Amino acid sequence: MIAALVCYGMLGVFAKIADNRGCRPRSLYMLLFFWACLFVCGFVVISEHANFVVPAKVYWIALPFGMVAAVAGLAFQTGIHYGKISTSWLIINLSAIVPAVCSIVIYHERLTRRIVVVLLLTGISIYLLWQDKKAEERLEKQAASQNQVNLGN
Amino acid sequence: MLVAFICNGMGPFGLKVLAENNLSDAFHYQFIAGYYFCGFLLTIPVVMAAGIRPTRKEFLIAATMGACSFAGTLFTAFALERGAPGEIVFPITTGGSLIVVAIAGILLFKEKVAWQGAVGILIGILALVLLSTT
Repeated sequence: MIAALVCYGMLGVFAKIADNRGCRPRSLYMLLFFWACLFVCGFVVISEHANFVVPAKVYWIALPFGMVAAVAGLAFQTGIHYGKISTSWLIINLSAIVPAVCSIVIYHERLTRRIVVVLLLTGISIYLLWQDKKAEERLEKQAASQNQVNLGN
Repeated sequence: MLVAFICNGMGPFGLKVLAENNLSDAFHYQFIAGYYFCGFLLTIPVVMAAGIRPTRKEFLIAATMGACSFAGTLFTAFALERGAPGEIVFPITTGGSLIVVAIAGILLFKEKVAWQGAVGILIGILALVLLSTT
């Protein structure tokens, strides 16, 4: 459990390291999907005797969702270039509410009180992170105008 | 970030669709392999159209990130298989990784978080802990 926690945490840390080291999002995510696919295939070969002959439906379901995940990765990696990893990673994790809402809308699962509370907290959290970003931009503007005044003097 | 939020949330919904089709237990890992492969397929033309040639640095960092992503999934599955209850495993892995990244952001990358950001992170962690125990 702790190993899983560290691995997920390191994934976020390495995303920021990649940005700091000038890695391009498109190239990075193409290679990330390649490697991740290779690791999973290796696991299937070792633990499930290379059983890749599965109902076609499995791969047809994987097709659109894998592509959407690639778009998410590209958008996230581009986004952290302009924002903080501490807040961007939270937004990415908060997206766990999306499948919960989709399950309610598409599969008519029961909307529990807990999900409503989570939705509210997610909204409040994203609003506060947006305010944090605005506060940061305000400070940057103030610093820039202060620099201009100093140069003028 | 809004695009990342929606798309990243839609990705795991594939597991729900798989489960609704009674295919999840038997073909979970084959689905994940297909999922990553389709993501890889989509990004190839994007990279080629931009005329990007991956560097060695990108190759190595992507390998590390891919390993972290896969290992995270695998260790979560192992914890569940060894009898750890889901209502403990999911909040600890998601909430804990957020804390790891927030601490790294402040200590390693010297990010300054205003009070709104700090409260937002705490409320976000609370929301995720609640969601993962649902």
